[in-house]
Amino acid sequence: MDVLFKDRDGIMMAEIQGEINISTSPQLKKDFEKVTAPKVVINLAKVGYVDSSGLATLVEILKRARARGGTVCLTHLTDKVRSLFEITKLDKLFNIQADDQAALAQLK
Amino acid sequence: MSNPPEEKNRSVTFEVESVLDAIPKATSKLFDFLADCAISEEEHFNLRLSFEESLINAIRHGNRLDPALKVKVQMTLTEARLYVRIDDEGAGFDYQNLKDPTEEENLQAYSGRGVYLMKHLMDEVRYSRSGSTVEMVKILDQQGQ
Repeated sequence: MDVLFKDRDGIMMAEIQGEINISTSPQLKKDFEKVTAPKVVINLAKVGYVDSSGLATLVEILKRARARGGTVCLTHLTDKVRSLFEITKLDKLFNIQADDQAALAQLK
Repeated sequence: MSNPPEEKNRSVTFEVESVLDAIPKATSKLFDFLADCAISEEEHFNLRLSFEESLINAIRHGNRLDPALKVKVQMTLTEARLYVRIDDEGAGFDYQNLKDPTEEENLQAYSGRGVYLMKHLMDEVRYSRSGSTVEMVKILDQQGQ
């Protein structure tokens, strides 16, 4: 699992590649602890598998962003990953957008 | 929980060490066992997630990562159903009073989604032995067969 971070006019754009599971979640959490921008967009196009610890880690990232006065937008969810958000009703907690452009339009 | 019919069954039993690194190998054994089944991509995802969540619970919460304790996995395949039974050697947990992770007050909680997902993605999920045993059933679509 890798995360590519890019700053775009003060909004942190993060692209995750790989699985977000019990093995990779601790590293993901650590990677996002360095993020100080309040507004974060996480592109999940290259994430094919997320387990419950991965969902929990994304919730922690959202809580940290909210504590900074910001939020997290998720984009490019695959059908299966989106279904996990729907089953667990995390789609009500997160701002989920089709793509990064839509997310940026929401956050600006 | 319906029991697997005795005829035309194929079964496998194996033990898993109580370390999280053992999970990928156990998952490979699940899909090796299902190699002759034409399972869809969606079924593969759902089976993997449910199997791994139950193993994580058994290894981390049941056996508390104690390398001296084992997790036993039993899988039985009939023509259309996969039965999975996972036993750990821990003290169990209060599976009858789990919080609903989809309730407003629990949405931001760190834990509690694993069992909830298993119950949604499998056709049957039942706990016994104070939570040290979980049995799951998946009705397979068998597309293309």
